Amino acid sequence: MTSTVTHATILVLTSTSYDAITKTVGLASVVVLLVLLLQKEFARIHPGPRATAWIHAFDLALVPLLITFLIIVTARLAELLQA
Amino acid sequence: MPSRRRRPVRGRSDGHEPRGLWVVIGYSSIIVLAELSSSFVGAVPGALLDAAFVPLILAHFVLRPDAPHRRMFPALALVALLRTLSIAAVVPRLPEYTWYAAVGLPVLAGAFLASRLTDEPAERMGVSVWRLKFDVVLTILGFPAGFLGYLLLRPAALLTDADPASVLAAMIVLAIFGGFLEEVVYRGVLQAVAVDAFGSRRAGILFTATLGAWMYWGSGSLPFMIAIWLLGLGYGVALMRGASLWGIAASHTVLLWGMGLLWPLLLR
Repeated sequence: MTSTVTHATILVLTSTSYDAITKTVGLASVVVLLVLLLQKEFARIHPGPRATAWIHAFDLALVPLLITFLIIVTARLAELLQA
Repeated sequence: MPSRRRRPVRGRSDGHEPRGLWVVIGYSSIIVLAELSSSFVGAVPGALLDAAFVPLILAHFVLRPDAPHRRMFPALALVALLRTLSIAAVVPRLPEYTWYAAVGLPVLAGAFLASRLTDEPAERMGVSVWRLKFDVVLTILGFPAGFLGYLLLRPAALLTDADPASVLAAMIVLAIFGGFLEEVVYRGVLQAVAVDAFGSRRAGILFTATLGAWMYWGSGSLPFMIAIWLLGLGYGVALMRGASLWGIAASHTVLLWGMGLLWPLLLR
């Protein structure tokens, strides 16, 4: 119904186990998050105009991925606590 | 003498540089390819392709400060990020309407950061209200558009019971993380930079509406995609003609309320 939640995403989410989703797309998101965090830290070690640009540009992906990471961790913890 | 407020000319094409447009087209094609993959190899590989694409396009943005149309890159990164998050951020055992919030919250944060990177003045993104009546008309037009959308897609109702608290929660979620979010991403961030990159308002609106419609490939309905494309063109033109982003977002919200809550309950 929107471009964020389409029929294809609903199909994936309802036909695939949450475990499988977190081990593929969830894991990939965490890997991208780690890569971006590492690059951001390298940029901090070598300060300069380009380093500042790196930091600002990567925030575009870092902040949403951090929020997603928190959602994944909270959901997994809730699942573990319920089990 | 009191100064009169003047409506800004949105989407001026100052400093248009045709060189390098192929890079923008190439990056957009990767996003389209990732969407197409949902039909052939599944939605997960497409989301993974988008996940890999985001750091690359952002690196290009930083490493080539002289690249033509580089302001398009954060906007395209945001669109690619949207698909990855649409699968990664959702918790399937929660009610379906909460999925919109789970995906929308990180994407909304990304949209504000992208607008900062593209350095687009808020006025050109349409945040000021200049023609209130026009905005109201657009909002009202959301009702028939929602009905048409329902007939084309026939989505299942977001709620199975009409509990007032759940209906209110679903309406709020669809307003913020449905209508408002999509219009901020497509009309607010992407269209503003696309008009500059392509050097004309028409081309910028066409590009934004086309890419926006492609992001609906996963809906599995070509007629619905065409309707979304026409809607995107209409919203794009309306924004250029003085409608505000709020009016367009309100229209989109009314459309979603109709498609997800009203029409499925009335016509099931």
